[in-house]
Amino acid sequence: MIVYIARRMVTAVFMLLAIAFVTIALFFGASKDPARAMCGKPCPPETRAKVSAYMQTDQSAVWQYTEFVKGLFVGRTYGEGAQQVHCDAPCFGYSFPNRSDVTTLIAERLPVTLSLALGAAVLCLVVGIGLGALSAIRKGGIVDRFSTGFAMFGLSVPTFLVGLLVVQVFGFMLNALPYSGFVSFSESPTDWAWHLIGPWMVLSFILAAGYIRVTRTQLLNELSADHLVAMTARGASTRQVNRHAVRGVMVPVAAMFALDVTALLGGSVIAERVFSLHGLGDLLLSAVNEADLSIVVGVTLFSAFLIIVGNLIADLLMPLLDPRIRRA
Amino acid sequence: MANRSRRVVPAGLALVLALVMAGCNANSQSTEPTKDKNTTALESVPQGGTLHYLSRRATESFETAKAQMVPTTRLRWVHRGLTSWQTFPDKDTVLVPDLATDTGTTDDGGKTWTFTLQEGLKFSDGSPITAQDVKYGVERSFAPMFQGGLGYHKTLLVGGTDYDGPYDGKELDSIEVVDDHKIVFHLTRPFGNWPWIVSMPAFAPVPAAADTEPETYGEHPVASGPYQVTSFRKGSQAVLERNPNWKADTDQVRFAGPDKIVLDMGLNNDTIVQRLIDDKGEDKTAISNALISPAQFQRIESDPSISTRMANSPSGYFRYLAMNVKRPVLSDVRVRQAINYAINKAELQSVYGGPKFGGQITSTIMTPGIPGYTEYNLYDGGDTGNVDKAKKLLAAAGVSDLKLTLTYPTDVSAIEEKEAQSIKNSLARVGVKVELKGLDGDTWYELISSADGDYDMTTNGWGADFPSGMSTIQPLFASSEIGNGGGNASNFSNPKVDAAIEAATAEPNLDKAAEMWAAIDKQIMEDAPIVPILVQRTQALAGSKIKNYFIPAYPPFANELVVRVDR
Repeated sequence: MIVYIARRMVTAVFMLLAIAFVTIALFFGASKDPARAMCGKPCPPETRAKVSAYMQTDQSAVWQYTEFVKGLFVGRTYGEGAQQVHCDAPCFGYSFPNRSDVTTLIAERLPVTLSLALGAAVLCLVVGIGLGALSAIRKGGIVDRFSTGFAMFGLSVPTFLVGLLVVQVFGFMLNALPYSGFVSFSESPTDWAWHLIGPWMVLSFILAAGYIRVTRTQLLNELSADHLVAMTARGASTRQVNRHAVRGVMVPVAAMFALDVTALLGGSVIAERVFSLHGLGDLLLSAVNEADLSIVVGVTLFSAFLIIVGNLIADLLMPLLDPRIRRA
Repeated sequence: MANRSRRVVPAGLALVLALVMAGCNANSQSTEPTKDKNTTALESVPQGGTLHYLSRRATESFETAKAQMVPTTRLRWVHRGLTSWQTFPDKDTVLVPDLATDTGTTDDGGKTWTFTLQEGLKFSDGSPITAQDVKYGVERSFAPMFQGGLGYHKTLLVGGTDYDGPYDGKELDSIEVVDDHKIVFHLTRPFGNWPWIVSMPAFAPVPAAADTEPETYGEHPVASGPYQVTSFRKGSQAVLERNPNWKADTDQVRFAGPDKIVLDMGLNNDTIVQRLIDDKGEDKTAISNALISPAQFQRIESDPSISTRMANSPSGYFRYLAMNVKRPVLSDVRVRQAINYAINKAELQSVYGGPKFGGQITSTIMTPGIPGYTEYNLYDGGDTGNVDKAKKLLAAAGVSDLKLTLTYPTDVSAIEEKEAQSIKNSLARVGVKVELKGLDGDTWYELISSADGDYDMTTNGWGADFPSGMSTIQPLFASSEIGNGGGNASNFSNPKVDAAIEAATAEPNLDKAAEMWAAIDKQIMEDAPIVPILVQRTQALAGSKIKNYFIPAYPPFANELVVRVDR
């Protein structure tokens, strides 16, 4: 087991380094010049060259990559003399428009994204599995028909539309929920939740659809599986049968959940934008607009890291949930 | 787009000339600052209340060294400058002294400028505001860590191009501090608009002793203006309260109405507009920098309780079609004149939302509100164009089966695409085939700002950073602005125009300079390197308890320094 984890971690490191390279190469392949955004007005060529040299964006993609990897271990220094800016190891780069190193920026934004992701994940799991299971148990019933439609709708409407609708209806028309803003959990847990209900609703609505469908299909399969039919035939109670059936549902749901949660932790660009939340998705989007390479690479790597770890955890959980996988 | 600044269109030309010149004569001898705030249209409201500012930008800060904001915006709640702008709902914007006692004097035709600070001015920390603090503030803007602001002074001050800021102990000798109240600027060349340049953010005083953490200085700056920052949460909220050391009788541009200002940052643009439309609770005392989209105009206009709260700019941004004169097919002036006749400007006006919200059709480069703006039309084909005249000119040039490419940015708004399509239709009427090439904004800008860009025509917009031909004509038509990121998208180069631009730039008598710019405007249009299209309006909404909210002729933003809260 330990060897397995170690092997996976080593692969992950190489994968992250490759992702960093591709991100940097793509960035420099596009005709964005970070120095232009930071040059001011007017921007004569001398000023632009000066800015570019200070930000070190005048170097090639290969040089950027080497410095980036080096910075991870020994940190980086930009500029000379009293103008120097340090970024301590492990340095994921320095954002000049934000005047801060990327690690700090990610750490600043993480609480918002974390709150958003965890709340949405819990809500979508409860709604998704709940509705999915009810539909399967009373197949063809009102709940089933409602949740199938609900899932279809959730899968087919774009996030921004749901987001805008929630803001419009609950924020402006009913004036029932705040339309934007974030209050940290430590400041006031009630206000924290209050401000997040809207985005949670939006994200979990979109995500729950998948869980409803998977839970329903899987549960129906399980309930008609031979061993459960046999159990029922031998007089086991519905409760006992269901308990066994649920185990079979857990595996695909857990795999899906691990991926969804990690993707959410990487930042939900649209939900964050619609609700004016400043999490990682918002950070990434602004950075792309401002041609801020350091943030783009940093946040991309962070999200990639989360996804790799999420997958690993899901893979490790599988054998615990389903003994058959353990044997194989 | 990096290339868009601002600019405005006022109404009457006579007014423009009369007023602007009265206010910004650079050589005017200093007078005691006069109180001219009681313009009839400005309502008198008791001081007090809390003003809410809803900003769509998450990067709000009170750092002056890298700011690009005009002097009538929120940065100046906290910071004063050597000079500032006085705006009116019904008159043109004028330059007035701020910290200084006058708008600057020069004895050598605009190469050396002297300013004298008012006596007795104090920072929020109680220390006196001195010439040394102004010098230090300007010096900071040269530090590489503070790039990004309005930097006209950086190439104008002697030694500026080689100076890297005060942080390694070096001073910029071309800023001479004579005594606590007298400061002299030595320029590399005569520059008549220097009095306007010193109204820009970098000319706010910064006491060196307080600049211990330059990177975050803008979050807790020492205030020279009526408000000081009492709380700052980066990317989220700033709270400003009164600076007890600011004295109203030393300041003619700031009304300092509210007792407190709460600035919320990084809000969704559409949410801000919706909140202002709804006008509930604290939003009744709110203003913002949100952009109103054309889709919202109808809703706003149909409801007087909303439309009366909307400020609409009398002037605005310059919108035009640039023709790349380096291309063989466009090198003949008759072809470019034909295109000027061919364009249906009325259709473009409706693409932009019509005369009330979109903008006014124009035929000149400078827009109303810029000193020297003179109405004329060298290629008058009416608002819808003159197809016959265009065809005749093309025939005279011996051109047939003309094919041209038109490039435009696709990621700004859907309007640019419709605009390009309309131009294509206009030119099809005269037998010119246009191929549309929409590009990602950055790619587009690189293309049109490089000397050998592969394109025939591009649409573009422009706004001046200060009201002068220097800030509208020079960046778009001087041959020095071809390539290297410059704004001369037509690749227009005329030695006579260059010489005239240089002379007008140097002229310290701004009345005279305005006349020179007016002549250059026409001189350029004789060569027809562009088709002027519109003077684009801007709009802004305010809560129902906000008073004195208007957009002046120039700049096309509401003056945030005169806003008051009705209780």
